[in-house]
Amino acid sequence: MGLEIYQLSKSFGETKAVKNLSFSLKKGEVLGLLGRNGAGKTTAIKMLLCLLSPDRGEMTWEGKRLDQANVSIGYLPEERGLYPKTKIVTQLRYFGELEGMSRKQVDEAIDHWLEKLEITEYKTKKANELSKGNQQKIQLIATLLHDPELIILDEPFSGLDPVNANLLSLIIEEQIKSGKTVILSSHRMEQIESFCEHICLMKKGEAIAKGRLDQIKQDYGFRNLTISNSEAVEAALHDWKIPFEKGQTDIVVKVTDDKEAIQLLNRFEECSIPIRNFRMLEPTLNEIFIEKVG
Amino acid sequence: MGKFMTVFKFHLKDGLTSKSFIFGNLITIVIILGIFGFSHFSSNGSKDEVAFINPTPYKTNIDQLNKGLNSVKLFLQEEGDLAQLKKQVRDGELDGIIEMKEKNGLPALTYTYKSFADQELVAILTQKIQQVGIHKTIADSNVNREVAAKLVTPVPVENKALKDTTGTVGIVYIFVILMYLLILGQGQMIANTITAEKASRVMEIMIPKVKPIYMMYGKILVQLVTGLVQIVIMLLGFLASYSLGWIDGKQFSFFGFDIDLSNLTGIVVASFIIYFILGYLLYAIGYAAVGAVVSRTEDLGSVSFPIIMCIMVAFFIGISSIFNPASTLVVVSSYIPITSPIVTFSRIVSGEAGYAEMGITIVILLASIAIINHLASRIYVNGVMNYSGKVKFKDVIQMAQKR
Repeated sequence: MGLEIYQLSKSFGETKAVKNLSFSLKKGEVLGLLGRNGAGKTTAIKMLLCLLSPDRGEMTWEGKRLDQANVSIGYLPEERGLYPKTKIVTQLRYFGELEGMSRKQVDEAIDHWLEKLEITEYKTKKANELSKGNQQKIQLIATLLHDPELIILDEPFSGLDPVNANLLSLIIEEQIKSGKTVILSSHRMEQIESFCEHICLMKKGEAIAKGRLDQIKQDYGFRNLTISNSEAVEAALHDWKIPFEKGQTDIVVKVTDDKEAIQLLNRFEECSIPIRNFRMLEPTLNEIFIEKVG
Repeated sequence: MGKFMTVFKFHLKDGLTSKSFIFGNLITIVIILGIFGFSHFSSNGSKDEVAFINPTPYKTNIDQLNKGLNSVKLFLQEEGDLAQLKKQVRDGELDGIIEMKEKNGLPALTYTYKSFADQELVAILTQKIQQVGIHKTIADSNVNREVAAKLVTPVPVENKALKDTTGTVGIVYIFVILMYLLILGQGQMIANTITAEKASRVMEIMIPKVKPIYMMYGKILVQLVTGLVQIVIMLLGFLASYSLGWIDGKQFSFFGFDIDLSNLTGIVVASFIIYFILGYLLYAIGYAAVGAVVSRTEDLGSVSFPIIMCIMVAFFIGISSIFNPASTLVVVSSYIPITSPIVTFSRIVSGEAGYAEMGITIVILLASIAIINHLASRIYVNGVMNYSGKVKFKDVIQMAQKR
């Protein structure tokens, strides 16, 4: 059953921030929530967290109303949410105890995560004494401290250097492997592609593409025929007025299906233009994103 | 209840261990000890010195004159020193000169001072020297001793106050100021902490974990406790000054208002606590709602202005009630929720409000708190996640209507 979202809508005055958003996510699945700035992703997340009440629609977890009583949620907000003048250990204890953890459990979890994220020295520091990246790590600890069933990560990689981004990737992977249900909102398509089996692409408050990522790629309508670059191939494509993209070593031609690709390769053969190497590749998520919402 | 206690304990610890709270209270103790210590030490042997020159035939006893003076010590000087004495007054070495003269067969005084006259000195000397003049005139006129004694005997005035409130004025004054400052200060703290939680986005983390209403009441109760702790600390400062002998329980005054500590009865203390808590809750809930609708602490001033105005009105009526506790304005104000806590307390201390009035005002206040609580909790719940720029009055109304 997992998470079921049905016909969720939210308006702010005349602006419809989210329109009839529906999707479902089984327990243990990972959903990438995509869209340009202002597409309605954060509003949708805030409704999932009961930070905003929807104007219409339903949200359930395992068939019950989605709220703090029925599911344990870990939320990593896009903007940092820490008490600036309070010691890290004090506020992490507070967050953990509010999730029903005992002092012993929460202290063990704090030590475990501080060690894992290599920031044990900041335990007794105040949040405003930490760098942006380290604050983000503390925020991540606050998100995962109570071992939530549903994890919602809003732009988790913002503000992190490559080393910390890699560390965060490993932790997200670990959480996914341990069977957590994850909703990941990010502008970094390569991260979404590597973590998410499902995506929901939003534009102006509406879901314009949703479902399994491989299915969406199949249904996209184009595939990338990648041919080894040569002057003859390039000249022929120019003559035949076939659009292509030129890389350093390859030329990429968008084709609708295998049949069209074979026809093109035959044409090269008929014209005695040698092809050293070719591959058929799925479209990237980045291409789909630009095509759909760009 | 468990989550509420977690919120309460976290904010209480945060509040009691914050630097502003610790230093604020240390400064309060230092100020209290400083005021009473200064008052005690400056009043012992550091009276203003005024030279008294009397070349007239009117006999005066300098020790008798000094007995009636609290802030001035007179000492005799010769007339020939006048120029030198005036220079000393100008240079600040001497506080004044009283020259006694004779004019039209009666004694007259010339008081020379640098900038400000001591009114107590003027009043007492005028009265005493007049007596000296009357005595001499009677003696010179060979008036019968018995008749003379009758003539100089002052008219006896017996004060019979049916309700003596003079000793309560200072108590009301102190408690009204205390109530005003604590309600205003703690209320502002509530609004500030809520707005700061919104501005730092902690609110987004907290709301999925705990009901917003728990957070609101957690903060309100924490500020109530810290406010009461502040009162206890002030009381400790007062007791320390008292035990050091810096406060004379019989002749204690506050900014010129006499305070008779025997008037500080159990009912006064109890009514202060009751009306302080009720007044605090009334305004604190309002402040919490105000803090929830704005997103930046700099916007708080304009939104909380109506609440500050209400507290100011209550304070000024409370002050006026000290001197005229039975006026129509004061009586009516004691039944109006926003002014009731301060004004009713003032009327109780001055003996104007009976148990019936206390009961009615407490019921009115409890009902008002319930209504404000109903509206403010809706505003709070709907306001904490509102990050839109400027909040208009109609937005607040919408928040109050929305379930």
